[in-house]
Amino acid sequence: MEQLLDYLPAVFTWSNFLVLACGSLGGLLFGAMPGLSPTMAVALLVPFTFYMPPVPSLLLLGAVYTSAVAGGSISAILLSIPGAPASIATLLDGYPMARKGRAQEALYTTFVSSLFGGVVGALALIFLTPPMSDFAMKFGPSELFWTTVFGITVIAGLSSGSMLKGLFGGTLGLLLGCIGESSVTGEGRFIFHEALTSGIAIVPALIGLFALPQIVEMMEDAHLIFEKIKVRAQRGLLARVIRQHARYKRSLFLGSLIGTVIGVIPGAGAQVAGLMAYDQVKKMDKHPERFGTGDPEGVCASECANNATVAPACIPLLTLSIPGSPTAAVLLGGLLIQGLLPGPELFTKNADITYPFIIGMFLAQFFMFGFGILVSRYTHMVSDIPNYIMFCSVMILCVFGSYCVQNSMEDVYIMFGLGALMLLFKKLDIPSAPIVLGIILGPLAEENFLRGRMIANTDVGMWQYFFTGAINQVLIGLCLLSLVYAAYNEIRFARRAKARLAHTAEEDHA
Amino acid sequence: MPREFAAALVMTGIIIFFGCQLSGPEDEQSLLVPRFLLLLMGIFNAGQYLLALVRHRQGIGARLSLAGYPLRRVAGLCALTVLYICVLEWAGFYLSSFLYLTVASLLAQPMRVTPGGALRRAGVSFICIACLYLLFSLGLMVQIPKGFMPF
Amino acid sequence: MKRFLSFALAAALLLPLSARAEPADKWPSGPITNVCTYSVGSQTDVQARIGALPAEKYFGQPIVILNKAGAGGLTGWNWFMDHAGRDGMTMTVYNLPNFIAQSIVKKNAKYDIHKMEPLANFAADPVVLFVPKDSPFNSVSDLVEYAKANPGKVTLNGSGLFVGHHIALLLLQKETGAKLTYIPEKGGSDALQSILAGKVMGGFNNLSIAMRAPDKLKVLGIADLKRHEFMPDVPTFMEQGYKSLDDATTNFRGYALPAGTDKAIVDKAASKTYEMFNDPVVIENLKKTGVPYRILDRKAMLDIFAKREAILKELLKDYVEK
Repeated sequence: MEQLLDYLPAVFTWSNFLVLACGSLGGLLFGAMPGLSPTMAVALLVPFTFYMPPVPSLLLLGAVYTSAVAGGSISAILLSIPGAPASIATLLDGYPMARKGRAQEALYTTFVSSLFGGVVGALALIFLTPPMSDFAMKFGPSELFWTTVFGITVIAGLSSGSMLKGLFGGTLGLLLGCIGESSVTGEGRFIFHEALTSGIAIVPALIGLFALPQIVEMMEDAHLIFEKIKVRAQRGLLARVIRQHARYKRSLFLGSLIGTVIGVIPGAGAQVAGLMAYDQVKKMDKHPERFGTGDPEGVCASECANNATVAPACIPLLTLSIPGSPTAAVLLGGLLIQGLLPGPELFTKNADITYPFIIGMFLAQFFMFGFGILVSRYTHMVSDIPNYIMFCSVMILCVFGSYCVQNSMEDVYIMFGLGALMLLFKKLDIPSAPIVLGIILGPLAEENFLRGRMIANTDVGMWQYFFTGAINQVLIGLCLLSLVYAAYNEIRFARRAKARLAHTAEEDHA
Repeated sequence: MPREFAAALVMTGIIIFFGCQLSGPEDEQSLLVPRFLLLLMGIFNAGQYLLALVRHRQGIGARLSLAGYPLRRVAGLCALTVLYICVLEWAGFYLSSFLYLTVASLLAQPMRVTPGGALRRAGVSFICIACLYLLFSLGLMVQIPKGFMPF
Repeated sequence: MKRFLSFALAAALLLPLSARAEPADKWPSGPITNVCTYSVGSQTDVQARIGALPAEKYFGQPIVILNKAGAGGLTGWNWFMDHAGRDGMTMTVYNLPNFIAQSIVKKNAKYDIHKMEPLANFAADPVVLFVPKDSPFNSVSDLVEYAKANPGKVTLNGSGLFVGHHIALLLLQKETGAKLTYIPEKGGSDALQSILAGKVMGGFNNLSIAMRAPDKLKVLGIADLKRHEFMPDVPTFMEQGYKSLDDATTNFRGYALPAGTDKAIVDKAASKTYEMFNDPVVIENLKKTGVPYRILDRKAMLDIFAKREAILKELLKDYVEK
């Protein structure tokens, strides 16, 4: 810790601050564009950092990572198109808020919560690196399997009201995640076309499933001209939002906890931490129905969690060169390109690079907050763009975004194909969030299951391998609780709906 | 057609589509999880049919219909979008995006298209596409397909 | 007059010859694309970028890396075979023994050693066998004896199927008759994580991966012809008596052009690439990233390609996809 303070002055230079500022603003704007994701932003920048000195290059990557994750919520709230899988939960409450004219409040909530979660995550990176990396190492195939199953139980919670269709969608997503060559057996499943050999990439799938239906909706409304609502900058809104957060203690706590833990565990799906936090907060609330109608607390829980994954994902990265999230994996490339080998050397021989990076991650949260609030004031300009221009612009961004992930034209077609499917599903009221969740968590769950099975068969047998062990049992307990809560909520919801129906029927008769 | 029933039918279609693809892999491990998932999907589908039946009996439940839907406009714009996707690789991203942005927004707008307005729209499109070019090809050096264009 | 005519005739005859020599003279006429079949930041990618650093000095044009990851390289190399022009403007990074093993085993692989023209080699990452620090095994023979007594119980992982690590395990199995269980992981980092977490008993992996956590691992052997300067205390498999584990599994990486490219261009590219890899900037950066480098030229690589294919064809004949 003392060593950390030694390097504090090294970070506070004008050039470093300039790098942090550019990275934060650039990452924010990049993440805000529908179709462009944080992983892509970091991946596109890594080759450039090749030519930069180590400290600025890592500061840049860290700042872009943090801000892009927060920026993804801007397009989620304003356009109902998540910039990253992490922003899906934000749109569940953020978009309804925008429709009610509370877009700026939603955006402010996003950034305040992101700041909170991000700071908690950065503090974990600073103080808890050794114990957390030990903790992360205890997660083997069986523990990871149960973690992903826990994530999958979120699917049930996301679709209250049309539970069966949501569950079907989630299972379909899991099945779509199985498309391609299995990394365990090397055999291909469901490879209809050569392009699917390596499976469906997450970003094109996300774009297709969320953006395309939105684009068609914009086409439907293209003939309408909306009155330009004069939005005056509401004075004191920021202060009010900050004060409101005092009431969101549970969301902030759960969000930071879930985000930090999921972020530090490699291969646990850091992208869905936001959804998991949202789901847990909703389940533990006395009035779960208010989530999804435009309640700021939903936005708070989701954003807090997804920014809390950023810094902890770097913990196993720095200590063991094992990235905690897909974006951290790209950051690993940024480290290697500088010749920095993760491990104890990073904290001794290369301490003059590592500690400034860690401090930079902490500072980046504040830059993200500052620029985020600034950008939020002008986002009403986006809402003013008429639909007939918006839909084709968004389409073009989606095409570019899908292409740039893997430099592959096939991804654009996959995006389009999934989008077309989703158009049909929307008419049938099958929700999209469970499908994306399935695509992300499916491969993780299957691989860990098969690998665990292979190991268990040589050793103690499946039952003992998967069902014994402290972490396993805690996770299984969480999964069961999650399912029970979901079932309970669904019954409660159905009962209330029935009562309301009976009530209005009575009123009609009376 | 009642919506719940239509949903159930689509689900069955999807299950059959994937179910037919199960031959091929020799290692039984490859098919363990897909088979399990298809089984689950079958269960949910059965539940959906039951739900459709219950709704039908109760007399409630939305029906799928195209009444009041601006089908012509949406279908036209969708067709234009499909055309855009098809020529993307051939004409290059920038040229096709420029054409798509200009033509689609002009077609979709409720106001009448005037030559001056069209020219102005083309100008705005050009600036937007130029910004994308600066960002992606020059700034980030991503290799965007150029088709037969030199840039 | 006659002399003029004969001179003109000779010039006319020679003209097409000189025109044919033009492609190699004008090459490269623009930036060269290099298809890296692994994702940004992966080992192959970082090394390929280092190799391309001084490109302008030797080629007059930059080399731009294009990443096309997927299926352990299959996606990218298939794309390369389909879409790369045969004008020398598109190269790829080859990865031995991966692409050879894939060409033998996978029925949809569109490439093999005759479809790729190697230019020069920059890295030779030998395979090592390591176990966690607290493992009861202290040498390869300990592990083999245990495996013979408990067939199938020894779990060893590696970063994929039919990569050097998997092949090393198959070779060891064949030579000793012990039955080992191979657990394929998604990549080098994941494999390392499993070992550090004690989830598998040990693993085969690249030397450069073992260098990332030297204080937490015990390296039992290295599959190479002689001991390596990065780890001088680690005995080779051959020293310990396992003769078939020579450097057949070593991960060679370098640049290649597709077959069908004009021979003059291939030769020019090969010699320039060899010079470029020997540039001090490249060597210094390879050293910095802890990569065991070995700069070899085209002739050496053609030889190695052929030898490897022979070994792998024999070893993998039971695994070929029908």
